[in-house]
Amino acid sequence: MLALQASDARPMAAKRCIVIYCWGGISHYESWDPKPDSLSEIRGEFSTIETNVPGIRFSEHLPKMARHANKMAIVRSLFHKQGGHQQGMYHSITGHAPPPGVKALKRTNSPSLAALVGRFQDPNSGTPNAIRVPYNMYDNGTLMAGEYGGWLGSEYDPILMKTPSGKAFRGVSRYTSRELDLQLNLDRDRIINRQQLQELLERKVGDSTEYDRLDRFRQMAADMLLGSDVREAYDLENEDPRIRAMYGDHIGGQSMLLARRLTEAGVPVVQVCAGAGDLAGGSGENWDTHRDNFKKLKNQLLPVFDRSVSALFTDLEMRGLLEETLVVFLTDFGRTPKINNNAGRDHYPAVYSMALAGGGIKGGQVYGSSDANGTKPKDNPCTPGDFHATALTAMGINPSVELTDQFDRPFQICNGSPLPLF
Amino acid sequence: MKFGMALMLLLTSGLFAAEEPENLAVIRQAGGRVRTVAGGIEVSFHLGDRQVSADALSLVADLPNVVTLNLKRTNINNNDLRHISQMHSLKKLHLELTKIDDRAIRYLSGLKKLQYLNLFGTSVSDVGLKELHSNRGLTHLYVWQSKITSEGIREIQLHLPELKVVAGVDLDTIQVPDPNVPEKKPTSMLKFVASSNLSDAPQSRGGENIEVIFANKTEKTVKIVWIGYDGKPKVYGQIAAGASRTQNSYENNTWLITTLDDKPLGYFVCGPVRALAVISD
Repeated sequence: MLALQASDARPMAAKRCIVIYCWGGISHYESWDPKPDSLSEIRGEFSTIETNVPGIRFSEHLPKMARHANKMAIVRSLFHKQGGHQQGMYHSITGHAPPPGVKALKRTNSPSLAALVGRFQDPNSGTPNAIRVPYNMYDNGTLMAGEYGGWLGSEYDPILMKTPSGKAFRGVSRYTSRELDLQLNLDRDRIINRQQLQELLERKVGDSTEYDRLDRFRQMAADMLLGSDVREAYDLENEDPRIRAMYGDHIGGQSMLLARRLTEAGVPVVQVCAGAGDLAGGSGENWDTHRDNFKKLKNQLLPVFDRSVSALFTDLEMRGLLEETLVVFLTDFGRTPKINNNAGRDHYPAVYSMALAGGGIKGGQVYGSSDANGTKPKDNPCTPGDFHATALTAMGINPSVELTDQFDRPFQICNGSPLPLF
Repeated sequence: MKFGMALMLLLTSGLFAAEEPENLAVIRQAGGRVRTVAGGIEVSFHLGDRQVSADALSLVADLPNVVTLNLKRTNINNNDLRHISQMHSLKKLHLELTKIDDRAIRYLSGLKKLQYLNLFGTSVSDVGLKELHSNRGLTHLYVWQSKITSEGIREIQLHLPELKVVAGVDLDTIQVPDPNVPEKKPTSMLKFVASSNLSDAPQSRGGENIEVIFANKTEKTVKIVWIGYDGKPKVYGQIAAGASRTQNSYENNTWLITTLDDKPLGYFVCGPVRALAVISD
């Protein structure tokens, strides 16, 4: 029934979704909305380059991605009102404004885009609806709300998997103490048979809700570890070393490769955290560039991002998967027009950029614009809700559908309108 | 036809699981997934055990209005595809990573609605491709890691000018780092072009992400200046006499070397790999 509902909205809807989250807030100036004609204190240090689409320019440090602009729809007129990471990330990743005092893992929270898309899919037995790699999102040790299933229920929490190889992002990245996230990553050489695995996964648990969750995950872990397509996909050693090299020997690249392999193996949605997991006060390799914005972007973040995203586009396209795979870029917010005294840029939700590709999205276009100095939307202002409505529509999901939670309370899955990007 | 109408009724009324025609049950038993999509039915075998019998395929061919058929990585052979030749509603066909070759393609030449055909990782060559020259509906063709050459692609595009053919990358052009060899000494060395004119240094162009190790063998501190994609010089820092510096860069980027008072000494143009750039008098 779900499959029937899901396919109504658009002909040839996308079948898989990869969400790339730039945790911390990627600067719109130094990525997809450069302002070469602004004064240097706003423009910043970088110049711009042509892309393969006449009239669309990117930051000079996205030279590989510039060759894939014809696959991307860049949205330059997003805005919301949340200036903090937790609130901005929640709004961006769920499409809904955060409730006051938002906290992680509350079942009244809105589901993430990955969880919601996963809810409408019907994967094979033993295949999770949604997976996250390679890190949880934390801010100074506090687990963030937003990347979970929320009111959809625990069975739709995207499962965290560690990317099994690649140089880590420098800085702080954490895993939760939730056993299952780790159990899924057990070395398969240690697992001799299903019974042994079950024993390994048996443990005392707090309450019945968690027990149900664990029970489901136990079964899934067993299925995944004992020779399913997902297990095979998770083992990056099975990939051609030249393809691995194309993505780069960094966890940022290997995570994108894992996302391709997992979605190809039947996992409907994979979300990739494209940076260190904990913002740790802006230190480390994440997009929260309050200090040394330019140095950090140029030498650390953008080369990994540029290479890994470009490899993903190339790989999806040559396998014939791009038009069935929706690639969604999300971030907390943009960065301030004015460069601060630490050569950094601070939080700026008043206007920022995101992008979509594949999955029936018409590439080579820019929707909306920011004003001359990138301070506010100029044409076609739009919200995270509108962006979500667009992604849901691409996946064949009607964004105005209502679902009920476990107490039969109705929730509208999205409060935005799809942007005309098809 | 009677079966077809009953099936459509079942599909649209969502009674799929409750009661379904025998055909569907057999297709499911064979590992197939069947679902309605806009415009028709989608049948896929690529996520099961991928053992598809000719009988199962003939049942699929009997289903009305199948618009998508996914046989990726299945065990189908050339001859099995004869059943597909009658599936005139087919728009998308996945045959990638199967063992088919040129002999299978003749069964596809009558599929005039076919828009998407994936032949990645098959043994199909330019010979088989000729069978598709009159498939006017075809818009997307995937041929990576098949035996199809650029000549075959050129030829089909003469017949089907709107067709997009995705040939993919040549994997042999990708350098795989050897994990047993520490990445210390660059194997390549950039040529230092001595010049005192800033205008001699060419504007940077894009390419592969690489590293340049600048080694200042002169007796004075020098500046390294990147010539931007817009041709404008940008100072990146200084290197003391005898010192080295590793710099992130891209293939075809130009690095100008100047004295501390900005007098040009010469420049380097980066190649496609990590390289040493020795600055000398």
